[in-house]
Amino acid sequence: MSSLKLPEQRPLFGSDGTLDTKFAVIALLALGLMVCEYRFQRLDALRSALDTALYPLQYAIQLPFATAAHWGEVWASRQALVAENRRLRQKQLLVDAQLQRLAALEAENRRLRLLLKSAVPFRERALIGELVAMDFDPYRHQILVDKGFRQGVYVGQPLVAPQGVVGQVVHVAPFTARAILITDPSHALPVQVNRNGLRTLAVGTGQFGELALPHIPNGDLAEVQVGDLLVTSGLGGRFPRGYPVARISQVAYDAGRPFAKVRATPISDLDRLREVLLIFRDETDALPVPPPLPTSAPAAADGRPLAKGHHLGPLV
Amino acid sequence: MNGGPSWLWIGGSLGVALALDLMPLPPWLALGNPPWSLMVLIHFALVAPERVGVATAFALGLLQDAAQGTLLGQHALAATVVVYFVLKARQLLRFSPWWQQIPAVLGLLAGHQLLVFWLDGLTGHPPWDAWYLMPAAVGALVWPWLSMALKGTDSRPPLA
Repeated sequence: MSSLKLPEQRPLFGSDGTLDTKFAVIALLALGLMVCEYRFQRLDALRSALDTALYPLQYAIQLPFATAAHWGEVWASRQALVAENRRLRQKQLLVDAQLQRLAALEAENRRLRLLLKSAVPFRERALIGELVAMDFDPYRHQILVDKGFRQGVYVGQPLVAPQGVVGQVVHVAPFTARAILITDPSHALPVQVNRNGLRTLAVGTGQFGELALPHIPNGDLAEVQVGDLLVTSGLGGRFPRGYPVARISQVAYDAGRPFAKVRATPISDLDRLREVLLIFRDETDALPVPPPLPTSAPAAADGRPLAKGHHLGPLV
Repeated sequence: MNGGPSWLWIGGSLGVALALDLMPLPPWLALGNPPWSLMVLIHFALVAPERVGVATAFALGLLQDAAQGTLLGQHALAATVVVYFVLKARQLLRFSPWWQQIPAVLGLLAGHQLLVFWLDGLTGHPPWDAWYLMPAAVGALVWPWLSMALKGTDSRPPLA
C-alpha cells in the first residue's frame, strides 16, 4: 500500500524560516547603515557610488523637461525673440554701467582694505551648474547639480543665482553635487540687515517663500522693517559676504516670547531654478580663511548645516 | 518556474517606477504622486516571490535614499518591512479580489509612509503632517489598475 503523499503543504500564512532570517539580516543591515551615517557620517563613498549609479536615470528624468524648454525656445515666435533681445540688450547696458561703477568701488575698497590690513577675500570665481534633479518636501529642499568633484566642487561651497543666494553643497559625487537650499529646515545662514548692519541668522522653514529670523529680541524690533534687504554677512567664512539673500516680509512683536516673529522672503525664485552659480574663492586673492569653529560651537553660526537633531528655538 | 514574469520585465517596471517616483513635481502635485516603486515591488512580491523579495526591496530602497537625500537605509528599511509583510500574507493577499486588496495595500503604503516619517522624526526633522498620507491613499486607488497592467504579460494561470 503506497502512501498518499501530498505534493507540497503550504500554510496559508507562511511560516517560512528562511524568509524570517533573511528579513532579520537585511533589516539589521538597514538599521546599521542608518546608525553609521547618522552618528558617524561615514558613508560618503557609498553615497557617491549610488549617486553616480543614479545619474543616468536622473538625467533621463529631466531630459523631457529640458527638451520641452529647448523646443519652446526654438519655436518661439520671431517677434518674441526680438522683444526679448531688445530687453536683454537694455538690461546689459544698465548692468554694464553699474559694473563700471562697481569696479571702481571694488578697487577703492581693496586699496582701503590694504591700508587697514584687513583680510577679506572679495573676488570670486564661479562655475555654472545645471539642475538635474530636485527634491522638495517640507523636510528637505535639496537639488542635484551636474558638477561634481571632477570640476572642483567641494562640500560647503556656496550656490547663488543671479538674484541672490540659493544654498550650499552638502555632498559631492564625481559628476554631481547635492546641495540644500537656504529654505531647507536644516539650513541656517549668517546674514546682516543691509540698512544698519544688524547681524542675525536666517533659518529655513521648509517653505519656499519663507525664511525665519528667530533670534531677534523683541527689544530690537525697531531695527528691522518690512522690506529691509538681508545680505550675507560672511561670518564663518563659508559664504562670501554681501550677496543679497532675502527681504523682510513680516515683523511682529511676540509678547509671549523673548524673540520677535520675523520672516523674510528669499529673493531668488528657489522653486524655479534652472541654473545656479557655484562660487569659488579666488586663491590668488584669498587670504587664509580661519578654520571652521570646533563643532561644539553654537550650531551653524558659521553657515554650516545644523547638526541633525538640533532644534533652533521656536520655528512656529 | 518558467512561466513567471521575466527579469527584463521586472527590472524595467522597477526602473520606470523609480523614475516616476523621482519626477520633479511642484509640492502640491507631489502629494498626488503615489509611491510607484513600492507598489511595483508589492506586485512582484505577490506574483514572483522567487525573484522579488526582501533583498530587492532593500536595494531599491537604498537607491531611493540616495536619490532623495534621506538617511541611507531609511527607505530601504521601510520597503524591506513592507515586502516582508507582503510575503508573509502572500497566499491570503494574492487570492483576494481586487476590491479587498485595496484596503490591504492602503495599510501597507500608509505603514511605509509612517515608518519613513517616524525615522525622519528620530533624526530631528520637523513633525509630520497628515497630508503626507495622501500618496498612500492615491496609491491604493491606483493599485487595481497597476496590478492589472503589470499582470498583462504574466502567462501563468491565475491559480498556479
